[in-house]
Amino acid sequence: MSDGERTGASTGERRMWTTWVRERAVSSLPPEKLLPDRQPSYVSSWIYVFGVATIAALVVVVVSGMILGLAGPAWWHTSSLGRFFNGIHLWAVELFFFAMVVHLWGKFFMAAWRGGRGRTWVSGAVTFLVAIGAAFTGYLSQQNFDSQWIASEGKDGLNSVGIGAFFNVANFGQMYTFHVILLPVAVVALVVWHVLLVRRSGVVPPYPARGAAAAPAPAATPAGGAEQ
Amino acid sequence: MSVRAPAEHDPRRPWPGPFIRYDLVKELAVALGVVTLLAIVLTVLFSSPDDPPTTIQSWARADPSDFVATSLTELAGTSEVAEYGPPYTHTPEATQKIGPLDLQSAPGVRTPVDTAKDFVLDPLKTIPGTPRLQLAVRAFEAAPPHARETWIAAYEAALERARFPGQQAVTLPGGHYGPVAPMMGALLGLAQSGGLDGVLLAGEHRFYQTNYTKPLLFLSGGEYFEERAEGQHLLGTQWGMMNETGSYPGQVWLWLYTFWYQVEPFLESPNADALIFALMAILSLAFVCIPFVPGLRALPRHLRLYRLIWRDHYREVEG
Amino acid sequence: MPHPVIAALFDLSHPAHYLHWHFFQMSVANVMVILLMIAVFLAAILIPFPKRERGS
Repeated sequence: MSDGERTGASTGERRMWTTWVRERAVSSLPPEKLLPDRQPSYVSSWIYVFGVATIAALVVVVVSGMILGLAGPAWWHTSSLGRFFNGIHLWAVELFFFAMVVHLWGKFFMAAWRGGRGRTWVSGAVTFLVAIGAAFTGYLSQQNFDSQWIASEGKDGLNSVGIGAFFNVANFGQMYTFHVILLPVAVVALVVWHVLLVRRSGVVPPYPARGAAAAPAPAATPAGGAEQ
Repeated sequence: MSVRAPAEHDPRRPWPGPFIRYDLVKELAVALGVVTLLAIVLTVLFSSPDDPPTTIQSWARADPSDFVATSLTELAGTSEVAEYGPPYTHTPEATQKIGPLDLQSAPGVRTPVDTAKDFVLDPLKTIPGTPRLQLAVRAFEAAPPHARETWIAAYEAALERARFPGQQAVTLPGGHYGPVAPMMGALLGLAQSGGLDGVLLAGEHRFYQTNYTKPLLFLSGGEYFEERAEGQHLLGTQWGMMNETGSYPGQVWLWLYTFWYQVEPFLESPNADALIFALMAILSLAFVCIPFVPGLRALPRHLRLYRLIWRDHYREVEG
Repeated sequence: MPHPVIAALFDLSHPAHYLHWHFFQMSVANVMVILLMIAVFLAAILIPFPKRERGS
């Protein structure tokens, strides 16, 4: 590749899509920002570990789910090893929601959306809601009494607003497919977006200290911006 | 030279310093280890619940009276399933509404269920070597609606005094039940053999099937299924949405969803499901949009819990 | 075929105990999870975080 081709923007020649994507990615998230080895001094509270704890729980959920999937949805009813991994999967889900809620409470009380970080909150909140859907389809996939009952109750809420006609909680094949691939992909994609946004804007700084001049009234912030 | 943290900093701008060393990858590794260990410990301590499913067979064997009573309403077309409305049936005025908005009707009947045909008549037709039963079925199908209603009403009244010797065949007091009596007796036998589970799922011409709509709807019409759920505290009126079978923790995050079902005006409303779904959709949207809602987004500043979270920082900058 | 329940150290398959307050009812397990969440949240913001070395 010639020197002239390396920076399409500066030479004015016809831009390649690859170059455009790479330059945008690298400029918004250079390596030191993507994987920083330092954080602002105010990041010194145990509340900050609950984001990564949520991610860790999600990893355990996905890996245990993949192991369960290796032998199919009925394995855990007849195998002690399968029952063990079903337990890991269930408790990792409880830990996932536990950590996510504590993380959410912390971020709310810190008003972590300030300074143009509105999209970070939005992506996190949507992840929470989609995760609830993923858990719902998981409970439906158990193939036991609990899943029967949840299906027979859940159908009423979904039917009442017309969704049940397309998303049939009694259709095991459909619910299982949503649970093992469609919703996990959605959750993981949202989490990746969420983390990249955090890396881009940095961890939200504290509110102004007492005695400091009142924070200047913010100008209209770009998409995702929201102030206190 | 150590930089002092600013007392006030525009959150839109990059932090000018000071910084601390922070190993994110190590943090993730530690978190993975801790969470994996916790999950293993909890699994070893408590395992996970697995109450076996109710089958049509187990229902018919444990409570033949409830099974037959339910089957009768399915045959009559008066059951909850038969009169559900979309997406199962075309029953008028059966849908739930949000004010004037009838979302339930919008997609139409996409999962058609004819309870008399699907739950009773067609399964009976699959039983081989039963010429008298098949005659009874054809007689029922050919009879005018008034005759069918008369037979069914008589059978229903007699059911209260019916006996189920050995929890099997139905023995009724004398009466005029037409073909309904042999039909119900045969259906009970088919259910208790396990054949009805298979027929409802696979029908006659399917090998592969993963759609349990018909057997599940049939089960949901009976009291046996609901009583089993009530024993496990899973009914809507028992905040059941949050609960798990046994003594396991359940879905705590659904507390607000199930809360509305316990209070007026939803408690007695025929549109409760639709109204609560809409309410929760609005609240979820508000939750997602907190950063953009004046008042709501200012709440953390007024609550001042942030002073505790960032106390080290404030101690440094406020001296 | 039904498989014997895994020998969990504590068998939670018995019906739960429920706490009642007016129309409100919740299983002991769920109450414990919520209380634990609140406790962990408070602990997270109250327990001092180890001081880190300042880097440039």
